Amino acid sequence: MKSILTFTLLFVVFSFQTNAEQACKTTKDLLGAHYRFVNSQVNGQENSQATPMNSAKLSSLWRTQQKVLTINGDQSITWFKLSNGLVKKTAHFDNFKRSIEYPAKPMNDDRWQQIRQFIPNSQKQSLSLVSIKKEGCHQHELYQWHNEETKLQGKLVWNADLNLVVLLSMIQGDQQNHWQLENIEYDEAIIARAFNQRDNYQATDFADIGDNESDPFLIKMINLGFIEHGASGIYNANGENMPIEHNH
Amino acid sequence: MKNFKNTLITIATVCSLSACNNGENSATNKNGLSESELKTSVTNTWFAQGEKAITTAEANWQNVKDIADPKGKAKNIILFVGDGMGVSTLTAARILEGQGKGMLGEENRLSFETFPFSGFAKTYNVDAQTPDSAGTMTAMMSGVKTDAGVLGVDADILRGDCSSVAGNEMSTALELAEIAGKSTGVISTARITHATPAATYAKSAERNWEDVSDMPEAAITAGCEDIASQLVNFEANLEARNSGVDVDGIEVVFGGGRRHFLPKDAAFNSIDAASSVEGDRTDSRDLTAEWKTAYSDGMYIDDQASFDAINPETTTRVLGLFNESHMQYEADRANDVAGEPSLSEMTSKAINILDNNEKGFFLTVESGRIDHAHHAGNAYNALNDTIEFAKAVQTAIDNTNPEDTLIIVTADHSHVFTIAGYPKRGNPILGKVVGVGKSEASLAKDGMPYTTLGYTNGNGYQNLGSETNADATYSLANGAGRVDLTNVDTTTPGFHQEALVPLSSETHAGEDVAIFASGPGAHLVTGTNEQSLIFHIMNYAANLTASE
Repeated sequence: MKSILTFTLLFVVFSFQTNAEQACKTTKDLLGAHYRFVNSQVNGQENSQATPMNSAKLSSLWRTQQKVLTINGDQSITWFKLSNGLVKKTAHFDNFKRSIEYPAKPMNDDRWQQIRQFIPNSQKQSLSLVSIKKEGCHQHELYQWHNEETKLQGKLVWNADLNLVVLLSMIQGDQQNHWQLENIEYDEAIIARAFNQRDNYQATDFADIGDNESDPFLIKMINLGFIEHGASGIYNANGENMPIEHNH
Repeated sequence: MKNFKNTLITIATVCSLSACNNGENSATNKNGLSESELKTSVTNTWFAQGEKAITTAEANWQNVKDIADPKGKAKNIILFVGDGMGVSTLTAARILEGQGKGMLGEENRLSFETFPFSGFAKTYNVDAQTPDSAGTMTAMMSGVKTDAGVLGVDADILRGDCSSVAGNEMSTALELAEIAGKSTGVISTARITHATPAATYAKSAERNWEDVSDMPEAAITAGCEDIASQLVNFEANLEARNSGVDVDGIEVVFGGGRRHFLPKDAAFNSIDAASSVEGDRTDSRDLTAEWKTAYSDGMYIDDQASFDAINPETTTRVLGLFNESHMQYEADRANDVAGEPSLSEMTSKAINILDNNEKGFFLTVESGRIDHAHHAGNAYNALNDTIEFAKAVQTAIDNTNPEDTLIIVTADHSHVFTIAGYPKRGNPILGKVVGVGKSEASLAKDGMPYTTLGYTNGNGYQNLGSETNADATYSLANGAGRVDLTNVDTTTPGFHQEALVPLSSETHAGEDVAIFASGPGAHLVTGTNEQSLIFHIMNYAANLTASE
């Protein structure tokens, strides 16, 4: 179903840090990746979201060996892999400094990889590799595909050393969604701060919500429907969860 | 009305003069049948059972009469609370337990349903028609109804306002037992700082102030103490509130909720921590260490192995915190990393420690996760935790003397959990409705089958197969409304019943709950009562306030 339409030797010009020395010192299990997301209509007006690194609306992915944090605007999610293999999700609401904790659940490798790197290896391997190129000390792989049936075409640039999406672009009809890596954070203190800040929010077990519906925060979140659904951590410009596996 | 009264008086007078109903009437004026003349088969099982029940009831009342001065005859008191265990939960659990034993199910009785005395409790809070656990357990422990959401304080409190606590604190039955020199214990499968267990030992304007990080700065500054800290400081606080009192503190504490006792520092994580940093406390206090310092004779434990190692005959004091948050559902317990004891195991161990005191003991046992399973719309776990709760009660029966131990079993409130019509006798209680004389599931007007059990509101349908954690539903989209269950096995652990009104979490219900009692003072449990009566029965039975 997936076929390559075009082949290009030119990669998108990235604005993220390309200091090879710094990048080479890092591991793929300790970093923060800031993304610029653009949702646009081919013949329409562009809708850009979250570019500056210090913006509250910055979309980013943070990960350590056991934890992943995805931030989208004032909502964020931490995933923590327990020693028994279960994964616990905690949803954060930065404006309220509150968190909702969900029960730890079994999670297969594909799903865990999707959370950690947006695209699981199995899915990436199903795409057609167009080219491999060295960028600094990292190897970048270019994938492209086109689905005749859904009229969806896509392009993925993948940092094979960091297991990180560098560019993900999907076009369907006049709609274009475009994620572009802007910056990689390697500073351990900054990475720890991203997690710790949210760890300090007042947390409520979802199991306790039934006993706490007089809590103004919980009432607001329940009414808005924010605390019922699982999410991949990848969002479109409207803050809606993006199930990318269904779009290829 | 006056004429009606006169008529009754006339009939009564005539009857007294002519010996009405004295069994001496002639055959021609027969106004009664002997048992042998009944058209009913007196050997019928139901008839025989009924007659036997009368004999048992007579004996029960004779036993009460034989006690010359029943006040204070209870040396020991055990209060069992099934959180959210409404009457429909009892019925369904009774059937499920029976079917598990190979019976049709409906004829089964849970352990405490054989108790000689029972009644009902009205559960409303002072400010709420449908209550919460904080207000209801406070009523049971302190003898006074109060507002929803507050612990150990009366209704003059302003919820969440620390300054309104002072002067509104109430004494609890557990505190009175302490002062009376009895040993005391608190057990819960929820966090031990959760509303129901906390109402036994804490005074708080807000049930959610489980540790200092849950409290607003103003409340901390004003001197209010978080609930976990109140548990560890129970002895000192009780002595401070009651001048001249010298107590030795709570002997047995078993439950979940380590997060509220540990500092927010990964170095304090337990082996089965469910968060990267298990502790929530932002004041750097390690309450488990403080407890160990205060009680050098005590044991702090956090897993099944250390629980099993306790010798109840030589152990004088134990603090067991078996989970970071709530303990596991009974059906999910095997999946715990470090292992957790069951409710019946905790009950047995606690009694065998507490009964070493010649003055007796006071023990509260809560099955906290019946409530949570219902909130999640999962009857399987609610009923299986109720069955384990009944097993814990049986453990108490087996380990105590009915002549000196009052056991009360009740619930704090109900849930919107229903048993629908019209399944045939013996139909699997977790199954779809199959009508009398039928072998295929009944169909509703929409052409789809439906389950016997259901919820009026909540998160609704989920089919999670073998998933034994009811809370797994919370990360899924709301499934309220009708679903085609034709090819769904509704008896699996992971099946969540349909719900009518879509809510993020199923709610409590406002109808009365049952009270069952055995032992000295049990006969006072009768009729329909305010829930706060339970304190007064315990107080009467054990003479907790007698030392004037």
